[in-house]
Amino acid sequence: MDLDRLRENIARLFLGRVSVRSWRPGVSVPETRSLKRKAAVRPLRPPRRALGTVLYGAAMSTKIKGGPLPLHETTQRARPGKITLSVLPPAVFGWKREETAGKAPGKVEILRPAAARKGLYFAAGLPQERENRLLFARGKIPSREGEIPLAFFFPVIRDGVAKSILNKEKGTLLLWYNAYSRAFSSRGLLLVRQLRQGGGLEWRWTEIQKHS
Amino acid sequence: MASQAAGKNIGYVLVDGTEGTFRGAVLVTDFRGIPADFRYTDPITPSKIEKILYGNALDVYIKEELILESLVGAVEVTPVLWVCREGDLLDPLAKLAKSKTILLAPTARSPLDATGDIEKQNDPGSYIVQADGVSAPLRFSLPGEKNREEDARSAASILVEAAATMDLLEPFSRMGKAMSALGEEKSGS
Repeated sequence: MDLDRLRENIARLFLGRVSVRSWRPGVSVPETRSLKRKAAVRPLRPPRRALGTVLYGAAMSTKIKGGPLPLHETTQRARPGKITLSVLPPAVFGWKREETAGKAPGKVEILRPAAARKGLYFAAGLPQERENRLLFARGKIPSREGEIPLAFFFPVIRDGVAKSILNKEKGTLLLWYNAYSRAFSSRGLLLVRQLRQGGGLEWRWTEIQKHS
Repeated sequence: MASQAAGKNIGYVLVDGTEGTFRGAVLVTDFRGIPADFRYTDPITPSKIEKILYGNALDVYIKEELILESLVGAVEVTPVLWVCREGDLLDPLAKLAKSKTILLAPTARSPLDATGDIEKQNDPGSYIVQADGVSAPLRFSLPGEKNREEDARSAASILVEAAATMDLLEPFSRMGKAMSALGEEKSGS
């Protein structure tokens, strides 16, 4: 077999089996990103529309829509029923009375003056508290030999007292008056410690001397 | 004095706005401190958004227009003197009340010479009075800018008369206890 024939046979065997690929030097171009951010501006206020001067002519008065201030006049005029584009039932939000909070979810009262409730019976049951005024009363209340004044409570309506309790922790006197009493004459109530043997604490009604 | 004091009343006003909840009370007592009328409001708690939107104006609005006006308007026993202890309530209370109005506060000063003595202070419309013989003098302030000495003497004479049979500042502490008790009652129910 001559050399030309051998070359021809080999060429037939490898015909179409060799593919040629192209190659370009260099790497792919990196993607460039900017560090800048675009700030989206959103309005905090509800949109206000001024109708009139353009659409209805200059003679029309301008209507401005916006949120009502919580004044009696403006809050009372708010009519939620007129809003028609809402999916949910529209509501007017105002101040919430604590007693209704949580009990009726979704139902919020329009801000109204707080109702003043009567509580005289409750207040009448609370005692009056008298502080010790001994510091100011020294030299103005009669003192006796053989005793040490501990506390002086003033003023006390002697004939009006229904019950009294000494608060030993605070050093105050709690007084419950008879609300039906007509007595108006007040005196001082002195607490003394007797120094004699076997002597303990003693309460005594006393007057204030006007001139020491 | 007893017969004169009978039938006269003092009205005490307290409006509290601590911890974001506002509530108020009025206690009208006779000159012995015995209650003749007591009114209180349910607590009002503005929401966060309301606080942001209205800022400082919210406090004023709730205290003066919602609470004070309702309380004073509801009282059936008219006092000869209205007393408050918050300075920002004095002028609005004076506008609403039909009687004399003062701001009353304790002092740590030594007693004045005699019961009934009054002493003008540097603050306009402010005085101290020796209401009784066995306590420190009390400071009282009149509403408005045009204060007359005559008005001060008139208010002081009422204080002196009442102090003979009651502790003038004590009703405030009673009201505070009443309000907290009512608050606990409500939160417990």
